[in-house]
Amino acid sequence: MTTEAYAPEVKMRIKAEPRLLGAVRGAVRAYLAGAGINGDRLDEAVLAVDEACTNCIRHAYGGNTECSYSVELSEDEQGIVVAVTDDGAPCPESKLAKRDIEAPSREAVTPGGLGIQLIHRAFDEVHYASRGDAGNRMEMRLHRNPH
Amino acid sequence: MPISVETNETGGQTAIKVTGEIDLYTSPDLRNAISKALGKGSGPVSVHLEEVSYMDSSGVATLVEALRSADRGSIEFVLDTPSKAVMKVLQLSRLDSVFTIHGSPESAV
Repeated sequence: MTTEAYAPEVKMRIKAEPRLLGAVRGAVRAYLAGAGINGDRLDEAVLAVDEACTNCIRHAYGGNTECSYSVELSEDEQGIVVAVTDDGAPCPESKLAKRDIEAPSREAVTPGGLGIQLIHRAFDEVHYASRGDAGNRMEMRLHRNPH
Repeated sequence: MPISVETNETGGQTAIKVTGEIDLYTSPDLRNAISKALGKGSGPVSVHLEEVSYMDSSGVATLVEALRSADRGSIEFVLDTPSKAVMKVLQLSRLDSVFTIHGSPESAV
């Protein structure tokens, strides 16, 4: 995986402001639809990117709306790449692991931790790279021919 | 405003109608409306979600918190006619069986 070596077709720099998430979703949806993604796959991918952006705002930046993160959109031979990068606090790797979403009992249900699982579910590949003190980068891929 | 949250009380029951998109920005509005309704006493609280075009995990978390808080107070908490978008996220989250859900819109087939 290369992290910085490619030039994305679209790069948005967005203030870590929850109000702007709707605009990001709109742009991501339009790009993915234009690249031929549709139906549930499109809805789930848009949701997943929104979750990645929400993680930047809430966890990496702890709600500091003066910070910014970026969303990059690109296509290569294999499919579509969406990268979400922030300059904030590194995310603990343990929180990024893919696990099965289990149906909890009513008593055991807890809010939280769901976003990352929705990301794993929507994308064919998810790569996380810690940039150390420089932040986090999550690269999510949709294959052109999913099986 | 990308969301509207209207609360109506009739005969001890509180119905909260949500229209628009529920995300990190708008979920606090829903959270406030629900906690006000639950704070009033013991009457049932329903959240009408037919007109919700989008919901993310912060919306799910809001509903889960509400359910837990309702359960603690022995208050009936119902999701009324969730839209296709809402059902989809609840199903992906494996939480559709945790909530009491009344009605389903035509479009959810």
